[in-house]
Amino acid sequence: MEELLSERLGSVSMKGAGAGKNRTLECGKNSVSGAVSQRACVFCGARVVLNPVTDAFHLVHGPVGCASYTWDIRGSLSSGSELYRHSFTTDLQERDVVFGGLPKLEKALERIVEKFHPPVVFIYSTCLVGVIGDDVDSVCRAAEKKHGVRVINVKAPGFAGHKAMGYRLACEALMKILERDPRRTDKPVGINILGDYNLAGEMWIVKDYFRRIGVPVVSGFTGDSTYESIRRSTTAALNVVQCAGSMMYLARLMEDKFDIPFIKASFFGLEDTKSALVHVSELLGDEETRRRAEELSTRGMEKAMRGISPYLPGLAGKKAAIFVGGGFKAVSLIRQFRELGMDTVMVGTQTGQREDYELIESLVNPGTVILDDANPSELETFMREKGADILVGGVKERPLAYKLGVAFCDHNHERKIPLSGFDGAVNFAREINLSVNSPVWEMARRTADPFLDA
Amino acid sequence: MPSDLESFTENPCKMCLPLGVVTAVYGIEKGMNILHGSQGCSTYIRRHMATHYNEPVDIASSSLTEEGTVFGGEDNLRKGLDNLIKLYRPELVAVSTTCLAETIGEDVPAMISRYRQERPGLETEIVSVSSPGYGGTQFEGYFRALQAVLRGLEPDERPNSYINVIPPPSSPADVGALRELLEDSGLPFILFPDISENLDGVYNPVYHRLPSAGTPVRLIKQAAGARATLELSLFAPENDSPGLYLERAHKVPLLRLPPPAGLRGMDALVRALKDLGASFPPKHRKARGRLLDAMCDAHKHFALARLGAAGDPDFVYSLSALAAENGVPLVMAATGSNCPDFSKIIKPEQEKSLSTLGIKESFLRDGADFSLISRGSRETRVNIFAGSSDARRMCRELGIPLLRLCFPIHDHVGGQRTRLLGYGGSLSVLEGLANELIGLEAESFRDRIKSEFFRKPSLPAGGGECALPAASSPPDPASPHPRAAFPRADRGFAEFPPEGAEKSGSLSLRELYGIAPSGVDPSSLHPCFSLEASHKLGRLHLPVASGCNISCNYCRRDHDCPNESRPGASSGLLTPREARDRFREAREISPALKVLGIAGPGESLFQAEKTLETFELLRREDKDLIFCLSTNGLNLPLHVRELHALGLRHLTVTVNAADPETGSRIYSHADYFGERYQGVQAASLILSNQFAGIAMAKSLGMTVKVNTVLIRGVNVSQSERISRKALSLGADLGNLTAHVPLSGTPFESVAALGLGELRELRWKSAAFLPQMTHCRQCRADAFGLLGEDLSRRLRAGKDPLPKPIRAPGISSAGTRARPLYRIAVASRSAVLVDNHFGNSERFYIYESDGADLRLLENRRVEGGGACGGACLGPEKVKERPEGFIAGLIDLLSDCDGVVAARIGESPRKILEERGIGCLSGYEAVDKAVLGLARMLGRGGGAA
Repeated sequence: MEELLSERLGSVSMKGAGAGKNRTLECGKNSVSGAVSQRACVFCGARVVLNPVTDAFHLVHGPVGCASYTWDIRGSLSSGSELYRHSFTTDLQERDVVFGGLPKLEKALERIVEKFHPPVVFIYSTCLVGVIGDDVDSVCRAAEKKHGVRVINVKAPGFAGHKAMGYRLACEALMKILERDPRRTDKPVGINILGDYNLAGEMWIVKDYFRRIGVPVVSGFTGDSTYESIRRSTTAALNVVQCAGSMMYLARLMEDKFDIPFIKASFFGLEDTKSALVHVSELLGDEETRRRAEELSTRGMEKAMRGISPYLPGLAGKKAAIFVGGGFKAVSLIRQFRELGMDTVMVGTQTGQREDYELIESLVNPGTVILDDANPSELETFMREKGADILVGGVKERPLAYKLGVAFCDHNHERKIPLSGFDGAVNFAREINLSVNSPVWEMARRTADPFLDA
Repeated sequence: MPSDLESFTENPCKMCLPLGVVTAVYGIEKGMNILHGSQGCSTYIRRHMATHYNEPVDIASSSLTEEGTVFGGEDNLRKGLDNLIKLYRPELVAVSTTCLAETIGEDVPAMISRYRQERPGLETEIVSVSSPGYGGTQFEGYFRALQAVLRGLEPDERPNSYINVIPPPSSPADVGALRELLEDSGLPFILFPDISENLDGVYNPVYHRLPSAGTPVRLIKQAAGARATLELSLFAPENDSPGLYLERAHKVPLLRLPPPAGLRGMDALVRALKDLGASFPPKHRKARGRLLDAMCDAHKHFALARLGAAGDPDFVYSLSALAAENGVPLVMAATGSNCPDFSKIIKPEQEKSLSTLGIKESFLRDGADFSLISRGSRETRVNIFAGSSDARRMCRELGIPLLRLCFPIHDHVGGQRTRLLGYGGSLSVLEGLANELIGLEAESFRDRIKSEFFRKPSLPAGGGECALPAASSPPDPASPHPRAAFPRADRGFAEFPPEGAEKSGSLSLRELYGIAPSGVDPSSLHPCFSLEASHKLGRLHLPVASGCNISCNYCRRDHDCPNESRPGASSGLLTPREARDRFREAREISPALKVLGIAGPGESLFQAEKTLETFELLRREDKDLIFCLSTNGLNLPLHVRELHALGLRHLTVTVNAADPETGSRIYSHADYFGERYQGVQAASLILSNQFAGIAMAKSLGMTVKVNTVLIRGVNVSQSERISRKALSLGADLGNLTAHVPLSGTPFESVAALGLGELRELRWKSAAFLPQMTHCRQCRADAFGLLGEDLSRRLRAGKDPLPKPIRAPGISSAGTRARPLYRIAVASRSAVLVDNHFGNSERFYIYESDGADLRLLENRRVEGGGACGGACLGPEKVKERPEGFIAGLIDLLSDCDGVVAARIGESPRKILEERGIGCLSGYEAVDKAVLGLARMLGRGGGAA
């Protein structure tokens, strides 16, 4: 471990390794300067969560880069408006920095309302706006009054914390929609699904399961959502929180304000999907609903197992490395790999929380490396040291894996294959198999180089 | 200038300055980047570059926090440098500022010198680059970094024999080719920067995280003593140009050359190198000859192009040079950078590329975003585009191919290996372009020429001419020469999008089912298939089908399927026997009843046994009945033979997409043999069964109409492809209809197409496939002549009248917010108000509240069309039946208003006396109706 920076020592541990034993992994800290963190910024966190609101107008108030680099890079699908797939920015220039960006913003809002008639405008105020001191709030208030649409300032300067802070700001923006003139009912029915961004249609898969067991889904946050669907959510009886890292905060706020209880759930992997469906049906439905949930799960699992089993012999004993955004997903992945007969030898997250890491530690085998906010050199060192066969991560990590001769599975926002639910579990097995057992690794790692022949 | 009056940028065609800095520094041996700012900047740029180059891209960040932002970030930067140097052991670190660091006023040069003072003996060079994200684009950032590195290193001014060569921002493969040329020249050279290996690495058993190729720092220092600098860019800004800096600060003579793209560009570089003493092995001369050879081979194809290009200024210039040399019409060229010389420098090349072919339209702009570029591409009818993958959405919308040639390419592999520069690079671009054009032409020429010149021979059907509105008769009298409007010379492929995979599909289907053209044309007897018959033969739709096996995103399951019947609910479901009874009743009322159709309310072949039984019962009633059926096509291949055996000869299939990707936006799932399919899989299943079913129906000799529900922003751009596909399967008739937004459906907020837009689309598709333009979007239980719905009469006394579903904005009578007005429109085309009041043979009756409108019926005028200009003045009055006008006004007495091109004084007076408002003028029907409804709402009534 001589490659490790001293500031990073606390954020890296190996299960069962003498000295580090039983100490708590440091997490939730700011990234170490110069360490080449894989994390993005506050703005990114906010944009990830809000962008799937399909009919909202997402305006990046800042320089062009922030908008350019986040243009339609998320695989969230929509059943309606495609407005969210455009990239809009005030594209601040030198003169705006000197004289302030507000006149441009005001003018932009005029044109936006006139041309696009969105029900809500999210203004993402980036680093630059944070330091030039534009009073965006007052522009929002004035615009709401003048145009009669919701205009919400998401104050997300990149430096104000890390990505998880952005999640929080997004949750607050959503609360601003919910709090104004909330829809209430004496008889709350059905659920909201929180923390699913409908990547590759995953929200649709989960909604369909609930439809089939007879649990109405009132609203989803924020995959394939609209301003109206969000407003409906306050009449639900239960919040089901998937990506806990991004949406737990909203679940808590909704519990406080609207008395909607929540449960955490995961739809990655067969076991997790089953227990999610059964738990929700227990909380909400009658015996019949529960029976349907179990029946659906049994059938779904049987069918999925038929899809997965051909891959199992080729996957048994392979070693997985995981580096994903949130802790809850890492936990699901460890369990999913176990379902496939694979061991996890390295696991890290960008924004995992203390309880996530405790859970991770309890799940993995001794010797597994656990990392918070890792950088490329750590990923490289531990994948090599642990002999990982495949890395699950985001596209930034992909070239590194390939350069190390390690297979790769994209579990980030850019995926185009649904990995949720019973169907998703089959896709996951197929994905892992096609990469980890591809003949290219044998060619790359085990074929003698004729140029080096004696 | 962004598209919207400089207020905001929509879909940027540029990235920020630090990205250019990072790219340039990647061309330095053992060079690393650290961005002084928020963590996100470096992560975003890493992602953007990693997915293009398919290489790990490591960029450090000082990870400024709130505290650093308030109290200064020196500590962060110091720690960042320490860590970066420890982890990577670089020879050079470039510290680039970001928006944040610049705006809070960080003095980075001072921080760096303090850092070095604190660490005597530090071997790593550290240079600072001032690069606020708002200060320009990646293009300027690239040159600025090069200049900053030259400034930041201690120059070695001792004269040496090197030639400095500064390439423009280009792909690693292009830079590699340039290096090969320089190596072969025999001249000592400093290629700065050299990204050829660091951003296009090889697989190695041992991975090195530090970029170990590139221009050595030692050589960069010697650039100050070089013999000359060749800067291969026409647009490097004066303040940022590394060549100008070397000339001014170190007196290194500068020669600025265009990027070595195309023959002239590369020749200029070769000549310059020869002047400096280079001599080249024969292979380079052969490469030049090969380029010329390829240019001759391909030149005829280039005239088919209407090329659009967008990217860095030097990239666009390179393409303009290639275009000018090869006769590729470059109609649209744009850059996202604010680049004052852009138009001036590119204009002559662009004009040269257009002048031979006599093309006038052109578009040239700097500071553009994709919203503007898209507009420019439409205006100049671009049919092929060259640029980055950021253009892919626009190209998809326009239905044109995209050549991915510049950064960023996120949706293909091999972005690091695109070629453009040198003889070889030019050859590869030109051949790629030519092959794309050849492909487009090969895909479309058969259909295009057939639709232009081939006319279906008239058949002796009932002794008269075939009544089918053939392609030869324009579907809309308002536009007399639909095909002539697209003369060959300036026709872009935009109108004839590539058919892609479909071609082979349709071929194999034809082979599979042995499709032959149907001999007789029974469609001349069917009202829906023949304009003529629509006025004569009655038809009855029987609502026997329920349930559906697919889910369309515009459909609400609790109502009739809008595929076929407009969402006016059919009144309850009938069993096959009840259907037969209704037929008997209907025959009593209307002996002309000849045509029996099943079109809903659900999918007619979902529970096919009911449909089949109904036809069977009816066949026993009258063996001459004409049957028709509408279906979504999923189960069509399973039942088409049985249907044919029962005498079905008229089939309507609703096809809403030409490819599964688009289909998946319309169909959310399909249930087939007990399995539920979703997404693209569902759409492929639906489409392939539709296509197979149509082909089978045609092989059985049926007349097939293809309906398409057009949804704005979803499948509108495919209408022509769908028509072509239908044509290739042998379909006889197309029917484009506009989607009706229903609340509670995913497409509820998608605005319906206007009549004008629909007309234009029908008109375009009519070039391939005859279009049904008299469709009134019948109800599933429609009865009577088209335009004369007797179904209410038939149902009277049996079951209550159905509550009609209304288009959004029109609420039902009891609860409506605004009153509804019934308005009669004098129109021939149903698109324009193009008839005089007294001259109109028919009135289209609309209902409108001023915000939305809905067509209720088409009312014919007995003996109409006789005024012959009565409204123009008494001297032109022709004979017409006594009391004609009075009768006409009686006919419209249930209306609140009348819209006509002109209304004579006396009819106007009578109308107004009766409280019927009038509006006259040549206007689009929808606009006129809405306008009059609003006027009536305000209490007005005449204009």
